[in-house]
Amino acid sequence: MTTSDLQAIWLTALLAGTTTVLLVPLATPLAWWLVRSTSSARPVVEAAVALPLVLPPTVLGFYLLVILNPTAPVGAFWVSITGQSLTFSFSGLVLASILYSLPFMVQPLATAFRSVPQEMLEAASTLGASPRDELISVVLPAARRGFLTGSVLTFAHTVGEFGVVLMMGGNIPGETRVLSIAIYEHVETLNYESAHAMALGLLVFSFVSLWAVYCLTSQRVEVVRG
Amino acid sequence: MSARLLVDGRLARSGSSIDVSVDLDLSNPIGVSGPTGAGKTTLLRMIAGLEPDFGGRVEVTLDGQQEIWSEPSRGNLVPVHRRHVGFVFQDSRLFPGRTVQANLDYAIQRARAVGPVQDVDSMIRALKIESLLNQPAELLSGGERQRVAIARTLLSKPKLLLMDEPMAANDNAHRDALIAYLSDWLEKHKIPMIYVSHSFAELRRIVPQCLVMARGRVVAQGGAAEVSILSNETAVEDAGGFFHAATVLSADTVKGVLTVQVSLEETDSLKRMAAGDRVGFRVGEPASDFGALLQPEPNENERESD
Amino acid sequence: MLMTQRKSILWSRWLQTLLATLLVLVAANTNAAEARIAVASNFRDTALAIAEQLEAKSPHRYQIIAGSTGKLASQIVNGAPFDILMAADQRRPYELASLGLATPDSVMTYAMGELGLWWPKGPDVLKVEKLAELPPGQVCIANPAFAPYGDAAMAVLSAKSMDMDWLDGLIRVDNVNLVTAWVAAGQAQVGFVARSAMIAAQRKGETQVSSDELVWLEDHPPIAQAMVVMTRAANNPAAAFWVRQLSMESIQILLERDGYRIPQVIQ
Repeated sequence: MTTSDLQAIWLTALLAGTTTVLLVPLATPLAWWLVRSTSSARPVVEAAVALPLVLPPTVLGFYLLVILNPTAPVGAFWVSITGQSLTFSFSGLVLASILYSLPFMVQPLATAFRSVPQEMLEAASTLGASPRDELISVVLPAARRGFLTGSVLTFAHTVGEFGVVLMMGGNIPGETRVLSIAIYEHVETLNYESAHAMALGLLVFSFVSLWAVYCLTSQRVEVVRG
Repeated sequence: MSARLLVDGRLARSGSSIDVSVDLDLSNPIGVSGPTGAGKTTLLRMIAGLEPDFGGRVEVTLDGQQEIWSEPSRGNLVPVHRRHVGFVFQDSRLFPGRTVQANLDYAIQRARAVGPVQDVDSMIRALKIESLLNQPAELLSGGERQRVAIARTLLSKPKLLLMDEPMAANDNAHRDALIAYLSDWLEKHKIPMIYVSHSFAELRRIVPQCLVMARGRVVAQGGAAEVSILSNETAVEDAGGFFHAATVLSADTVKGVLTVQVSLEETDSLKRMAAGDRVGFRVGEPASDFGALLQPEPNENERESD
Repeated sequence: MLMTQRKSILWSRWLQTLLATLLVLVAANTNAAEARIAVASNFRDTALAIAEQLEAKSPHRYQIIAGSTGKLASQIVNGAPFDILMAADQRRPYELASLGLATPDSVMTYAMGELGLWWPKGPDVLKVEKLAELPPGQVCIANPAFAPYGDAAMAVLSAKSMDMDWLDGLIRVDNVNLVTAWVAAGQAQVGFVARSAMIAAQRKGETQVSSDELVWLEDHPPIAQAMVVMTRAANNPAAAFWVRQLSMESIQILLERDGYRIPQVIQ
């Protein structure tokens, strides 16, 4: 494995880690709102959050490219404050990954939040807990497994990201050349051996992640039974 | 110190509805009784703000201060956590996965925002939960759970105490100790209380005043000794009857004649009555427990079951 | 307790690694003599060799990013931070210059590509005309929409006035390197290949080609590969060094070794 491949693996881990760490505080209130809200806007938001599940990543990548490129208002604003473009940069990839992996964090969290009994929340509120306090002191501790599942899924899904990166990240070593792109490039340049090594690694990693998730979720069932 | 509570409004549910209009003097604790499904728990929940669909009025005067907790057309004005009610739920509702101590701490930490929390240790001893402190809440027996729930609620420094069958799972010895402690505590802290129980024997020991509810309505209100109810209410209800509290006017033990006054004017069944009609009634033990079935009694055997 | 301790040790190690990496990244960013060279896929290996040579004789560092010329150009339009584009055509460098993204007077043709016909198990004499006898779906070209080698192949085929339906049956792949891969893998019988890609494939030992399977086409339109310096790199010494060094003999030998002809006059 060459240094550029190691760099791609490190970059992928950094991207997936950053995305996961940022998504936890972003997805928590969103999932909580989705579980609690009776607003008519809820199904709309729910559908929007779930969009990356069904949308081809290239579509998301394309629109991000259109919105974030330096000549578009949002992209130009970013350039004016940071001096760097959001497209074809690590920051841009983090932003894209947050959107792309949003359902993978929000949905396990919402499921975990939903499984917290209403009775416990009522008890907490009569003991003087505000809704925010309830979330922190009752819901979040009870949703530990949801956080773990959401984090593992988000990390793994971000590691496997390809279409979005291809569209708006390109293939810049140390900046946007993540694992999947490196594999694609190896195939394109007929380096099948390197492609095999990395693809197999990714395969094993994805399997282990999902296995961990299923272990976590089956444990949860046992707790409920007990 | 005057304390009042006004609840006025209707909560429609699929299959049943609650329709109450009461103005209660809370200087003394008040009991609520009535058969299962009468709406006792729902009344407490409406007062606490746990029924978001309740569109009626809840108005309280506590420590001489009047507050409007909910109002028609404006809904719940004061969220549950700002009402400072202490609610002991029938099913205890301890936080699972935490120790008894952690459950009590949850209340204590939040009560400290209101003021210092005192007598924690003496309460833990009096409610006989000191040996349970390090146990996970889910491993407790029903009675233990209720005692912890009572302690947790009392430690939360409530301004109004709402208790829903708080002692049902405890045996007589524990219940006596609980009642004694609760009475002392109420006496000391001067906290108004509404206490739901289906047992008149229990109510009479704790509260001087009672409401009787049936089918979502308050059907009687008065001193615990005058407001009475049959113990097998459901059986008589199923027979198509309707419970009414009644006041005994005279009891002629020689002739075996009991004269009672049914204290409700608006009931339809009264209008259908004429002199000479037979009505079913039961005198409980002691004799102040009393209910009447204001319809020809269908089955004498019903009265035997207890 | 032991578990938590071990966990916190792991955690602090992870933090250390993260900090160290961040420091390295920061240090790398402050080094001004660094340039990102976007190169047409067919030029990737050559560009890597050039970068190696230049890094050996200067403090500058070069990053090579390969892709099809069209893709790289569109990435530049959308904000990709490249310093030099080594295109496989002349059109894109001029377009970028006219958009104000590249310095107009930096456009320079650095190599001429050669197009060939690779036809394993083909007829004794390989001729473009004989392709017409093949059923559709057997001939592979680089996508003319964005690959100049595909464009040139299309021009050759049009000159032989091939049937429109037959042309529709062409397999179009993303870049000219993939043409070699597809024919090598048996996905296509014949391919319009780049000499550079054939040399690269044989060097890697993945493809064996005997000389009677391959013919270099004399009559294809010139595939002039031009380069351009982006405006953002106008003051980048590493980019300037790259441009200067391209006309040096040692680099020109490299280009010829990899299957390119040197343009007559470097503009």
